[in-house]
Amino acid sequence: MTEEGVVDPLLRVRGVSKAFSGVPALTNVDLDLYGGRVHALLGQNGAGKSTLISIISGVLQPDAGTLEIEGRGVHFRDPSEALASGIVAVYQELSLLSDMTVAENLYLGIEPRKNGLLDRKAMAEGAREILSRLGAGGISPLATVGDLTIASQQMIEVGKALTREAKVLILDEPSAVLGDDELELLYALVGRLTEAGISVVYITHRLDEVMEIADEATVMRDGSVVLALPRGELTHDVMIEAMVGRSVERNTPPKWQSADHAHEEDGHGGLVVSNLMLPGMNETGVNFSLRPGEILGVAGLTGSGRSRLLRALAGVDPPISGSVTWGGGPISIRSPRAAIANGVVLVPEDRKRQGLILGQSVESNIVLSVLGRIATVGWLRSSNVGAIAQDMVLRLQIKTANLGQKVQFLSGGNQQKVVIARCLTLSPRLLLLDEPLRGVDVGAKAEIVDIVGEIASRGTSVIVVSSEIEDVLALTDRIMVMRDGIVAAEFRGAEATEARIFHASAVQGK
Amino acid sequence: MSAGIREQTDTRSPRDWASLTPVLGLVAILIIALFLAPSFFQPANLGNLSRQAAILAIVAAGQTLVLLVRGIDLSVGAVMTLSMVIVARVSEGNDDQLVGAIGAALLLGLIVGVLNAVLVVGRRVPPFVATLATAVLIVGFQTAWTQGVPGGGIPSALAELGSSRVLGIPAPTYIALIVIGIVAIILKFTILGRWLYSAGGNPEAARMSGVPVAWVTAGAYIACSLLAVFAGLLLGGYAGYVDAYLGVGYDLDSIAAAVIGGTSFAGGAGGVGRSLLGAVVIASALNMIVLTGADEWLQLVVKGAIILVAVAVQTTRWSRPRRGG
Repeated sequence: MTEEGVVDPLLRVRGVSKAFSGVPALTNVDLDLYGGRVHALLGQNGAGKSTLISIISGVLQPDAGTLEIEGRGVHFRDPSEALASGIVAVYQELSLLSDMTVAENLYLGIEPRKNGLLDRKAMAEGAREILSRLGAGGISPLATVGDLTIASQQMIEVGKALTREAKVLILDEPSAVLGDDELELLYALVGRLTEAGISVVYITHRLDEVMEIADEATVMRDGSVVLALPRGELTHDVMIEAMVGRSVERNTPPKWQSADHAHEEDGHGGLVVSNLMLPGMNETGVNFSLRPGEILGVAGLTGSGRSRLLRALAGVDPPISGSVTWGGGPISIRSPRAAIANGVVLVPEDRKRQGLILGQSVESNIVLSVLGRIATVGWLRSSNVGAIAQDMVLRLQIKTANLGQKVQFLSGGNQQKVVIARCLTLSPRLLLLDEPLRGVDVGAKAEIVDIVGEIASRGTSVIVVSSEIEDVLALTDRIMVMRDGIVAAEFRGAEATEARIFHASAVQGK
Repeated sequence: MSAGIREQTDTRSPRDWASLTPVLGLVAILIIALFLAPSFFQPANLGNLSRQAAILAIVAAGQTLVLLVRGIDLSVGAVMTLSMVIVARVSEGNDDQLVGAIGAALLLGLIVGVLNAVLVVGRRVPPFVATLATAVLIVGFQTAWTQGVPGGGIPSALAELGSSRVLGIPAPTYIALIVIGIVAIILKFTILGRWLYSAGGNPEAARMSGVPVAWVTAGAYIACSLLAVFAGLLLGGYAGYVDAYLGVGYDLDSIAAAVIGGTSFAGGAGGVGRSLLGAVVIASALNMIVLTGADEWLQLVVKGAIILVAVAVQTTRWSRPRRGG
């Protein structure tokens, strides 16, 4: 560090704070980024990484603190000003126009011109040069971007940063969308960028990647920097401890506690999933079993296959192969309708897009799934429909002016309760919950946790996926960790601690 | 508490007030007619008007079903014409062949409806393109079959049905009210209706909730084609003759009627009762202009203006700020 110590950082962040409607998201954050080095930025969801990145790239303005580029103070009012200073962020959702060519994308908005007309020749030549700098000489500048693999598209996105002469390049979880074989390409790409003197900020949850390519790492937690270390001092344990931060002891016992050796019973009358191959994942398959009334928590990083598992079981994206049985007999999950007929129902990840019909009433949404069971030759009696909705509103304490209220006007927590209510009208054997507590206020969170506990106590098996390990731990002490489409680890009882779960999710190898 | 919830269910939301716009439009037309075309209010004219509105309303009812599932059907006009051509040719004007002829026309409707459904639901062709292609196919088939000059004749029983009056009101008006009543009841009180609104409101959420979205959507296209056949029969019966252009314009007019009534292009919101009102607005405006003796171009201008106003009202409604983005 001593020799670099004399070099001024490319970007210096000092004392940056930011609050959203009074709730602090960042508190007094410092960060130094040096040219030619890879700086890993780590932290759990909600640690403040996104807010910090948004401030650096001009999307948000800090409440306090300063930003300096090469010793010169800067104030970005919008992303274009940050861009002009050489700061480029590449997000997971790529911003490419898939119907245009590679060259057109690379020069979008800064097209070279000759005599007022587009200079296609200069554009193609420039693109070719940039592609070779990226080590992607195999990609034709004239190829249509939509035809390229995700990995190649990511390279084009990084290439866009080069045409804009980026000094600081922020990569937001670049590996989440890539397969293992494509990771090497990404590492090589990052290497080329740093050789060119660019400062790379690398955001990831995968600790192996940090060990692989980072020159230094900053760990954030609850809006503050809790750890900043050079490469030599980085270890898995140090990073996990800093990220998790809490003691391994629980504050409150979970809603459900796993019985010892329950998994060893065969033919226990519940769910058995064998060799389930999930679409889009090229791994060996998922195996687990679940007894009636049991709650299984599923942890894992984005892209680990946890949501795909639920979508497969619910028939939304049916599995490629494998078997699913209940009480020893196979059940069909080839469509949501078939899964529902077999007592399997999903509370989807994105309630507004997948769970609710926003323009319809609370009543219509609650009874939607159960209509087929209560109709007489297709005919619905409104008193019957109203009574079912009314029961659910009372049972789940859904706060709504009346049953005719459109769900779009409910709070996030109450919307989530409406989705859960819709599933409960079916009296399911297996309830799948994908991120049930996301975007839900603290009070409603506790209520939903109680509701799920109550459902399980009545004999319904529950699988909960959540990226907040804490939330899963409040529900159950049986946790399955997924990674790359397989079950990477399972923890029961006192073994299930946040640090262990996090380690299993984020670190490769058994 | 339970009583409290039930009582409040009938509270009118702001959106319902906006649905009164077509009523206001109709009142405005009537007031203008009072000054410019007093003959508008003569019983004979009102009868004609109600028949025009009735036929349009039946097509619009079908169109509404398709709009509710986020679709559009541009083939209804072609279906109307070809049903009449088929009836005239198959029956050759004989009453005793009428049942078979109507059967043949309904079969046509079924085929077209299934074709539209297969394209839109099965092949995921955008509805605008799929139904436009079907419409062109139908016209081509009809021209090849009839050499451009449809033959045969309208059976007198059908002509009677199209032009007779009961208690001074044309028979098609009763028929339209009955048909629309049945569709409205299905939409409001059956599982099909609920499924239709949810499949249009949010297809993804509906599918995850176990709604057979594909079948419901296909059903809407088939019902729309069958209703177009029905409207075509009434139109031909009233006209008393058949030509290659009977149904021209009904595709756009039916869409206009639905939109004026307040059915949304975004799907999931609207209803056939509203489309009936929309059909009455269009028919009244056109009828009044004809009575004032104005040129045809003015009819088109007025029709266009009505649609623009209707769409403006709808979009204003949509852009109301919503909580939670």
